[in-house]
Amino acid sequence: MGLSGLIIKGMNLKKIAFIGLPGLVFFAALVFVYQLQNQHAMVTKAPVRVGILHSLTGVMASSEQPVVDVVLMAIEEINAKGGLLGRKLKPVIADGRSDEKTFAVEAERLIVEEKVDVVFGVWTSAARKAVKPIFEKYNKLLFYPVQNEGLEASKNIIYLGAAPNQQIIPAVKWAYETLGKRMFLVGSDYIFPRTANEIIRLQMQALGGEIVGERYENLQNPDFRPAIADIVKSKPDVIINTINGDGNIDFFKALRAAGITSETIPVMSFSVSEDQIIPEMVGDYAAWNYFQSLNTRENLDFVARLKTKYGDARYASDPIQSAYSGVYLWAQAVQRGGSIRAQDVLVGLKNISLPSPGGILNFEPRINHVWKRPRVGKINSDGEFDIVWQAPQNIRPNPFPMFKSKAEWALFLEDLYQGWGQNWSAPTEAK
Amino acid sequence: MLTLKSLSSKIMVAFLAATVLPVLASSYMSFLTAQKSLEAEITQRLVAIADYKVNIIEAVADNNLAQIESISKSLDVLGAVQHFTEAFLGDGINSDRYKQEDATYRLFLTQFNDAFKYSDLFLISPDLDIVFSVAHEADFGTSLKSGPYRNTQLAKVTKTAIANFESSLSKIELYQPSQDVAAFAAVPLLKAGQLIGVLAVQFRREALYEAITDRTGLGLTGETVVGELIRGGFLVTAPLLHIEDAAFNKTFANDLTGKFLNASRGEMGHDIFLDYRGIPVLGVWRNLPSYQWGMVVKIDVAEAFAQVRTLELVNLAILVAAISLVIIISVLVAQTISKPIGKLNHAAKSLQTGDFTSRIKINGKDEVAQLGHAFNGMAAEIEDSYKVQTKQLDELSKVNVELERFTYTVSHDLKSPLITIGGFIGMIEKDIEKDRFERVPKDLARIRSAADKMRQLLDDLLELSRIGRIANPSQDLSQAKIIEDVLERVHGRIEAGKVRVNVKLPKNLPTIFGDKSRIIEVWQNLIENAIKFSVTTQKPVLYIGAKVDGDWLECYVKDNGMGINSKYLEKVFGLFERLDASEEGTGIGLALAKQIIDVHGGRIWAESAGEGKGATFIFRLPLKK
Repeated sequence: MGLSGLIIKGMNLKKIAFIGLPGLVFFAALVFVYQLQNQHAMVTKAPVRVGILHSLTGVMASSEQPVVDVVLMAIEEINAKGGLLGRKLKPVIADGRSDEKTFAVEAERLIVEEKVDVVFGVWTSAARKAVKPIFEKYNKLLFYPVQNEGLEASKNIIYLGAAPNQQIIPAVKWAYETLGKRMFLVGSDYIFPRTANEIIRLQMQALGGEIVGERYENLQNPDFRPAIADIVKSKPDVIINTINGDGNIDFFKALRAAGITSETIPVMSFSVSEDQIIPEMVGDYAAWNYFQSLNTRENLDFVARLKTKYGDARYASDPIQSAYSGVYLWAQAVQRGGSIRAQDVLVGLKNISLPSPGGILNFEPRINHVWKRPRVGKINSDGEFDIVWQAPQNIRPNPFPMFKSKAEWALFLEDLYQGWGQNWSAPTEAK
Repeated sequence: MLTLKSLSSKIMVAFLAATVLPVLASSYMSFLTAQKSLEAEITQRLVAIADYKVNIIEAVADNNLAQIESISKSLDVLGAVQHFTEAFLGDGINSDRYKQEDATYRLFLTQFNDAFKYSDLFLISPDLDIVFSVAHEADFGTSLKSGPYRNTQLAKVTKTAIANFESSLSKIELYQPSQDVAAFAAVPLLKAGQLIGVLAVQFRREALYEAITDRTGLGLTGETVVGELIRGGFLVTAPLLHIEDAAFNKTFANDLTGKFLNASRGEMGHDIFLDYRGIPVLGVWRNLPSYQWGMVVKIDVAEAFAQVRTLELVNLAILVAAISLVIIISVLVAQTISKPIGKLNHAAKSLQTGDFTSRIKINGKDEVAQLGHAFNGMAAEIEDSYKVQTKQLDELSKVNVELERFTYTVSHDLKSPLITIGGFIGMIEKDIEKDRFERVPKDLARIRSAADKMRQLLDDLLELSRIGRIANPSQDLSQAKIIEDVLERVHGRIEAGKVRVNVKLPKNLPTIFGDKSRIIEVWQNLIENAIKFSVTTQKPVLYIGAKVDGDWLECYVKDNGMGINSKYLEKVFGLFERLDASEEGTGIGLALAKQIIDVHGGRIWAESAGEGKGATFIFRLPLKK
């Protein structure tokens, strides 16, 4: 009995060895192959460090904080889909404190100390001018989401906002034909309003319009009483507004206080977006490439996602849309170029196109700008824009308006820079 | 569960499972990997071609704008537009003044036109009159504001250039004055910040389509399709490879349209889909912002993936070859196992039907061969035991027959003295009745004799039955001594029969190991027998002797008596076998002798040349080893 029991037991062991082991090996091999096939899905590499540089404090914070949020939202969405090149994206946020010098310091810190591979951020042109040499020095890319005065095409800055020919010139042309030929220019005293108004002045000269007055107020602590007084006095057909930041609220309140309504003298603003609208602005105009009210599938989806994440009080605006699309533009370029190095991303960016909430995004490689469709919106009582005009198609970016040669524009900029004591905005006077 | 009846099919399935499945799995996986990477590579190549085309088309557009901007900076161009405008507005294009201006500026403007390979070059007044053209087609001198060509691309691009104060590029469209497709670029001309006119150029068809119709890297079936989405499909805006004169004449609404829709949304993608011929193609779609076109670079799947098809076929062939080989090998292996088993089966069936000689041929030393050996051994065993059984049965039936005869003989032989006794008792009773007593003693003697014979018969029978049952202890026996003893015992008979006895024994005759009294009985029986059958002869002679023959001691008793018919040579050893019923003796003697020799492991037989020629009785006993 014992012997036969042993034999049976031995047979079982043999059976296990003969069938079980190869079976196990076969199964293990299958699992290995499956894992190998799905290796791209396994995110185990170090994350890509993504810098976000905006004003979280100061006069620009109310404009820039929502941009930070939307960049984080895009990063989150990309991470949810498995990241980039098998790596997750890790945002690193820095505060420019509404001050161009701080922007420069923080940009360098992000690149050198935080070792970010790319930076999304910056709003004002003054800050952009201040960080431009930093990005060129370290050969990193800045994805810049705001419309600008042009006259610049750095190989290290991806200009996601409108160049002058995509916003200022067509909107002024529209205002000239629709609202009137006598214009009053008011703006913050820094590089964007100064340059924008120089372009408008030259455009009016070519068209035969008239600039009846021009006023600049300090970005940090503006006082619009002299400007309002000038406007009341000169009675323009239209006010061209290039004020940035919270100053817009003061300006419109002061304007209404002076008895000027949108019916008597309409305002065409270049930096008033959905999230800054106050009841005093109803009936006035703004020029952008994007409005939240844009009726496309991509935009409806985007706005719904944004409001789901940040609440119904959150608005999508042109810079917010550009910043959001900019992350996807970068991501697609990284995938196309196969690397996160600036020089490879630039290869990936070459003539890239992608759908975005603002419509098709075409990249123009030689000047690092994107194609844009100029639009004019009229502020309604719901605090949104009704689109009253749009160009028939997307416009090729052209940062250098033909009114001056590139050399002449360079001289113009240099004069301003030196005039401000080697700053890109007027020094703040203690009051 | 599938049941497989034959061993071969089981083995084949096992082989297929053990070899083909892993081979199948691994080759399929490596094929998938190879196919995937090959397809990816081919697709990547097409993507690269598409990207390169986009880059070239967009770079050419940028370059065209840069060219026209640089021409617009020429002071001569600024002077020309002013002078032509003045002449045009003054006296018209047929005036001497205009001709004078034309003579002044035509040559250098034509040089620009030719140098940059434009098909026409225009100077347009701020009020949108075409005040100069190199080609002087029907458009020359007309107003782009109110004239017949006010809705042409030339008019549109001129207006855009003025509106935006920048150089602009038109879409490509059929241009009536040239009877051909055309595109234009226009740039505002500014002097001292004032608009003084517009410079426009018309691009040649070949220049526009050069990058699009270039089929480099696209094989025999590849091409680039460009078009714009219109209501009801997309309008083809450049020549097609497979349809003549398609540009601006053909509108498609099919699979391809979807890709144009994707492209016009800005999506960059690639896929396999049906083109305008309904043939599957590998296509890459891109957006061309300068012309607001969608572009699909495509190549027939059959051509693009020809290598993949080859790979598929090679894989399939290898697979089929592998499976065939495995089937062949498995059949062969199965046969080496199943064939001997089949033979075994056949042999076992023969065995079953009684053919115990059936054996199988065995090749090799494997388990099947071992089974064959075992089978053959078993068959041999069965055959042997069958033979033994048959022999035993034969003997048993012989014994049976013998027993029957013995019973008959015994009852007969015992009956006859009883009859004698009965008869004489009857006679004695009659004699006593008649009081005649003279014959009584003689009759009583007869009765005694019959009773003696009966007793003798019964004694002998008893003796016979004892042999083998009751054995005396064995000892070394010298035949010479025994023969001497026996001759001593039968001395009276020899004397009475006047028989001459001739004993011939070699010296140093070896002893044998046996029952002395029994062996003496054998000798006595044979010698008495020989005397009995030779006394009738004139000069009876007995030859007695022994010799060594191999492992045997052979003894004999030879007489020159009546001899034995050859057909009785066997029978003489039977019980109660008497050749002549009148012979004296019980007929048990030779049977007894045979029994004793058999018990000693020897053999006894009789030889005779025939009746009247004497007989020899021989027995052999095994020598001690």
